[in-house]
Amino acid sequence: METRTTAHIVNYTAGFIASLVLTGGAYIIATNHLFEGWAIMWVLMALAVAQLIVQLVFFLHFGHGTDGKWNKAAFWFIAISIFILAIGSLWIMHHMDYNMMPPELMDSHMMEQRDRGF
Amino acid sequence: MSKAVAALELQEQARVERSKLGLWIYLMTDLMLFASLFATYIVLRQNIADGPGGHEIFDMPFVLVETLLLLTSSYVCGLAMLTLRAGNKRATLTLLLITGLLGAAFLGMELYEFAHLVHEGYDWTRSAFLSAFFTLVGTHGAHILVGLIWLTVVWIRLMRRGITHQNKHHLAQFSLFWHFLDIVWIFVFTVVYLMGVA
Repeated sequence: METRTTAHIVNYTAGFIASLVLTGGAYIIATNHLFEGWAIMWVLMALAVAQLIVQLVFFLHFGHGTDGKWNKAAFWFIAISIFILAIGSLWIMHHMDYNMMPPELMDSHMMEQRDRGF
Repeated sequence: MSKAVAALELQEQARVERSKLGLWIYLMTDLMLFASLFATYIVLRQNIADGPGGHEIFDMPFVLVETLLLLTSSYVCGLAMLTLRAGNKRATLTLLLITGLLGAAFLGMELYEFAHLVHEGYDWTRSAFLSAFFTLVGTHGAHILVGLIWLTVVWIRLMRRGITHQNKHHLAQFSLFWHFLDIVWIFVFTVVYLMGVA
């Protein structure tokens, strides 16, 4: 019983230290602009996902408990929904942004249409 | 008689299992809420109108301290679960008190940041970016407040009634919620603050 508790404390502390390292690393990269453009976004996202996995494993003991099948079903259903919702929104909005006429052009276009009698 | 007791225990166990699944499903739907707010924020983050952008208003060392407070709070909460399992009521109460104080300090810093921004004139009516920012960060803060109230209730129950099966179950539920909020904050910190200044 004693050794098991000690093992758990070591486990939690390892997770805590890993989280501190990942948070500190991401902070230094972001505030010092160590990468440029999209690269820095990907690096920061990767560090956040790494920390998510660290906390799921060390703090929530995800994967080695006796999670029921309904818990797993709910988890995967939500994971897929979030993927569709988040990635889908960004994708659609990005393309709308890309295909939209710039405001100045839009103004002159509308004027032209009016002059033509529409 | 012992058969009746065994039947009752089985019933109680089934109830606990159901309540665990219930909290889990709630957390998953909450994740859905946060995902919508994150998507909204990312779409609107460039729409600053005549207001300031993220890099002009975020005080990064301040936010880093906030993040470390919440991370430590989550860690201490995990340790409290271990002392609880070992049957040490005194240590559990102390660790949970530290968990709550760190959480309250986090919330206090967040409210200070909000008050500071509003005082500077950068409130949620200024631009789409600021509306999305206050909604996302504020929703997380509201969850922390609920967590603190929940913690107060389970803390008092533990102090009064000691380590019972029911209290063990309630504390395990609270700890799951608290770790969940810490994980959501990792993404708030990364997407809003770090990507805002990068």
